[in-house]
Amino acid sequence: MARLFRVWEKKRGQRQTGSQLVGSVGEATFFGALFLLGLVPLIAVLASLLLETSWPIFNDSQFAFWLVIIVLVSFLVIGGSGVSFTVFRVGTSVERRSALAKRATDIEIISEAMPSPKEFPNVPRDANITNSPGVQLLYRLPMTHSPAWRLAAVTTFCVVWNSISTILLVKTTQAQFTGDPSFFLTIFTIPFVAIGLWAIYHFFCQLWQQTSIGPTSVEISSHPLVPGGAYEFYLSQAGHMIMNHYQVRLICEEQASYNQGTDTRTESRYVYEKCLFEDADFSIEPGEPFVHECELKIPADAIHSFQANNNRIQWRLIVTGNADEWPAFERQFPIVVYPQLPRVDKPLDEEQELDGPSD
Amino acid sequence: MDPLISIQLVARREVYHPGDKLLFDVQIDAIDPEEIVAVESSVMWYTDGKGDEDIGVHFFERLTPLDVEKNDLRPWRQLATVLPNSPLSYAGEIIKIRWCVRVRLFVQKGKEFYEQALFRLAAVPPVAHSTK
Repeated sequence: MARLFRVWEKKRGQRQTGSQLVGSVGEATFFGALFLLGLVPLIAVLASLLLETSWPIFNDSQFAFWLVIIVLVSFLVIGGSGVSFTVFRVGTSVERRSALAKRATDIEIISEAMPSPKEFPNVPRDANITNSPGVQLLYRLPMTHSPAWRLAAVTTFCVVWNSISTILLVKTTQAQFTGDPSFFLTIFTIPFVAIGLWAIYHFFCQLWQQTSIGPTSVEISSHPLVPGGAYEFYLSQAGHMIMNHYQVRLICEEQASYNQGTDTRTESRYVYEKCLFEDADFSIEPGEPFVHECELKIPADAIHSFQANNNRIQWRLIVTGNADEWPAFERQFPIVVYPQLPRVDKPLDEEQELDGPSD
Repeated sequence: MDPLISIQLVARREVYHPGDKLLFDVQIDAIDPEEIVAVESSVMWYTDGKGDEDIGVHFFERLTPLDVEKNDLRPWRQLATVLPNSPLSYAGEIIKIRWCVRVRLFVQKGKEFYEQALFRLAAVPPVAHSTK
């Protein structure tokens, strides 16, 4: 327990200032009360239904009746599952809960839907990466954040905001012409219209940028990758621009998430970075994309990709470019690195034979 | 006096590889057998570092006095499991992945004690090819 409570900072971590058992009892009491709050009225309503008596609050409304039933059933479900979960958690260790969860995921139907394959626990599946065939090489890597989504978001904002601005502008103008202008409406409309004009300008900038900085295509000869492996890499950059600087890097990033009060914060760190290709002062013409092929090597001592609830290790290819008269752009392509496959026919070590007691 | 939990890795080495058979001995002392409610033995990994802890249990066994001879969970027992392909042990900048054998002892009045023995799950070294 901290000796001094920091007033302006939320608590970080799982430490508790009171008894964990007392906290669990309080939690179970809350969910138990919720369960009873749903059960008792529900029994009363169902009993009245069987006895064919009416409730004044329903006022012969089927909608009100079913709404009440839904709310009471939700209290039952939330309260009942909360009590069950709290009792289960109090009586079991963290290892036992994890083992039970793992046993559930071992069921074949469920294991197929898990984010990691059964043979490589906590290593991400590569299905999203290997489902797109390449033109030059075997696989085309997907981008993590496609620029098309950004353009779609900007377009949606522009349309919605300008629709509202147009309505406000029409109302204000009408009020002016009818000789009954509204001061507050006019004051409110001015910034709305200003932001709408900026949104239109920003939309056209994004559109021009996306068409000038064309798509980036990255292909790879094999997937998943393993430490010590060497692979063919193919890059194609389309567009219409003069590149001041262009670079492709292989990076490994650690991501750690932690709870601080009600906030969830994530910290990232690049633990490996290698430049695969770098060039400057060249132009890309429409219809003539810039292409580059090289070898991609995963270091022999590289850690494999890893994913858990709060911690991740991710490998990515990052393409960055700086073009004349355009802001710098960056495109990221995730890859999955698997652990080196184990030897199949491994003789048992003599030390591993069963012995008597060790002492 | 707290009970004494002893864990010993039979192979007496720190580094294992995926597919290896991990043998370990467990013994409990300094407690009467009637006081023991249950003993849980796990082979597991957990994360350490900036982020909140993640854990993954590869092998788990829970025994109560009724599960063993003479209802005594204290004597030496040997357990075994084949280690998985992942995740491998890792010491990064903000994330560490550690493997261990953990034994948790539950006693009367809701108390519990645990002990753990760390080991490293490392990548399989490359096979050296020789030509004759």
